[in-house]
Formats: sequence, structure tokens, C-alpha cells
Amino acid sequence: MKIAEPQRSGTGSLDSGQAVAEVHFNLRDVHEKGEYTMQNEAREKKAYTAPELVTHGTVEEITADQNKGYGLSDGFLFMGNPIKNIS
Amino acid sequence: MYSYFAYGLNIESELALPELDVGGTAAPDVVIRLGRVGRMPLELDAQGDGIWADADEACRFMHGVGACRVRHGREIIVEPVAGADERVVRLSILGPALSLLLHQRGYYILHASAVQSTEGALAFAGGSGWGKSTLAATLDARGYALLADDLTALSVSNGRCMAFPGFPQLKLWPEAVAWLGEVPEALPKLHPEFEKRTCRATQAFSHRALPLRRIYLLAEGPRLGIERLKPHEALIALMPHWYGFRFGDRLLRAGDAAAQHFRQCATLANCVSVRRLTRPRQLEALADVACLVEADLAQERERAFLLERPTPGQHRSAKRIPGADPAVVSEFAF
Repeated sequence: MKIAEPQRSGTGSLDSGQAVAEVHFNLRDVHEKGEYTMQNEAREKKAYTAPELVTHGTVEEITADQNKGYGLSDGFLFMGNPIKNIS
Repeated sequence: MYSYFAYGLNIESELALPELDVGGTAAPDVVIRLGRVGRMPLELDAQGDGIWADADEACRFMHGVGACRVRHGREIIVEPVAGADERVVRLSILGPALSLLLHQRGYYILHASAVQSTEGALAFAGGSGWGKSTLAATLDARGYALLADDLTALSVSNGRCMAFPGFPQLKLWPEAVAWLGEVPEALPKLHPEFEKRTCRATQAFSHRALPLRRIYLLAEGPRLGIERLKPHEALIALMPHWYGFRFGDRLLRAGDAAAQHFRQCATLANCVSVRRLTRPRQLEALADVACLVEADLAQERERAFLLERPTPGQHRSAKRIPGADPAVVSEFAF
């Protein structure tokens, strides 16, 4: 049985200047039936590491990841000509 | 006045918009009229285009075309420049102006094409030239009716996401038109300066909103593959496909648009199965891509069937949860 990896992310109100970040917890995630023992538990407790904050950028930065502006080329070609966002 | 129906809205228009389906006699939700837009965008970009946007009003100016002012999600005022090509004016109404109007009405505007399946709506998101329309056309030819091309409007609330049908038109490059068995020269050009053609969808077009089951994010790679994204990966991958960023950051900075965009995108990532669809950008691969999508759907149907029939001795009874994505259910049930 697989236990979903716990995760938390900020979903409150924010504006375009605020960064989107996630907190990742490195926890045990796989337990096979019958293999789980107190010894394993003790070992896992020692292996605990602090949550790591991953900053992906502001809403604006993440949204602007791909160049979608009208009239601009996104780098693809059609019969050798740059394709522009016109529709 | 002409009456049309698109994106779940009754539209009354002074301009003929033959791309849209004819509407009934119901009171209009939206009025499109010719007139003076008043306040024009002050700053223009390198292409000569510009936009200003407030919380519930926006005005988009396109060089050589004119301006569209969109007000309160109910009205589009069109002011074409002298000599503007009618096709291009319609293009600016049916793309940018309608997207602004749908945004003002609270829809999530996804830069995607979408088709209907027996499970619900399937959306294919990607930039221009990534093959959204071509893949939608391929699936349309295989019996999956088109829902929307290029601009897909979603209502996202209470953990539920519905896709609204746009209009039965596809925008395709001549090469793709020919590959699909049509004659490109027989189809009208989308824009006088570009080779892209417009063609009607072949399957019957429905006006019923459908639950969105899948978003496939198109990607390029040497081999075909579908990778399921976890919700936090889906959120980051989906955000750039918000249609509103085609206007740069202006719309994102208007009112609480950034917060709304983030909130809706987070809900989407949580309640819809998001997958990365990698394929080579070759027309020859299209049939295989369509088969892969069908196989992906069939796998899901199989899982849903298994969930409905728990095997004897199964520790936990896996019941089908109404409205839930079977794929998500299956992760926790087995």
C-alpha cells in the first residue's frame, strides 16, 4: 500500500508579488505488510530531516514561464517560418 | 441584431459572427456593439498593440484592427480602425475580447483546445503551434466532438470544474488540413497575412457544459508518453497556460486577478487529473497520439470498473465516489 506523500502549499490570498512556495516533508512513504517493525521505526526517526522550503517564484513569474504574448513567436516553425501567436 | 450562443452565454451582436452557433430568443447575457471605446491604451508594445485593464473593465487595442472595450462581463464595444479586415476584427472579438469577458465573469480561461469523451471533457493545453487544434481535429475525426479551440472556459468552484463549449470552429495549418483529408485551398484563411485556415468541426456540437476530466499538457519529445502529474507539480505546470497572460501582466495586475488565477489554478490542479503528453511534433504521429489518449482513458475506465467490484477478501471496500476521478480514488483504494 502506498501512502500519499504529505505536502503543504500556500493557498491563501496573495497578489502577484508574493512568491509561491511549497514545504516538502521527507517522510517514510512505503510500508510493506509484515516488514514494519519497531526497529525500523527507530531507524526512520533518526533519518528525519527538516522540511525544505522550495520557492518557485511569484504568481507572475510562474505564469510568464512560457511566452504567450500576442504577435510574438514561441520559437516553433511552420515551413521554416516562425509561428506567431495571432489567434 | 444577430443572436448567438457560445460558452454558455446568449450573445446579441450588431456584427455578424458566422463562426458562432445561432442562438435563440432568450434575453442576452452579452451584447456586442459598434461604438467608441473612449479610453484607449496609452502604452503600445513593439507590435503596436496595447491593453488597459481594471477589475471589471478592459480595453484591448490591436494594430491595424482596432479596439475592443469589455465591460462588466456583459458588453463588448468594438471600434475598428478604417479599412480593417472584417475577418481580423472578428478574430479579435472571438479571441482576446471574449477571453476578457469570460475572465470578468469569473471563468478560468485556459489556453487549450477541448473535446468531449464519454467520461467528460478532455483539454489539451499548450502554446500556439504546439498542436492543440490539430490534436483536437484528429480526435474530432475519431468521434470526439469538439468543445472549444484555443480558448477553453472553465467554471472552477467548490472542488468542481466544468468546461463550457465555445464554438464549432478549428484553426489549422494547411499541412494539418491536408493530413486530415481536406483541401486547404477550399477553406477560408483565418487572417489575410497568415496561412492558417478555419474549418468547422465535423461532429455534432453540443452546448452542454461537461465536467472536466483531464488536462493534457502538450510537450515535445522523441517518444510518445503520458506522465501523470502530482497536484503540486500540476499547479506549477498549469499556471503558464492561463489565457490571460497573452496580454502580458496587465490583466494579472487588475483587481484581484492574480489571487483569483492562483486560487482557481490550485483548485484545478486538485480536482482534475493533469497529465503531460509528450510526443514528436510530426503529423505522422497524430494517429498514435490519439490512440495513446484513448488507451489512457480506457485504463481509467478499467480502474473505475475494478473499484465498483471489490474483490473478495479485499481489506477495504473500494466504492466509487460520485464525481471523483477514479484515478485519484484508486491511489487510496489499493
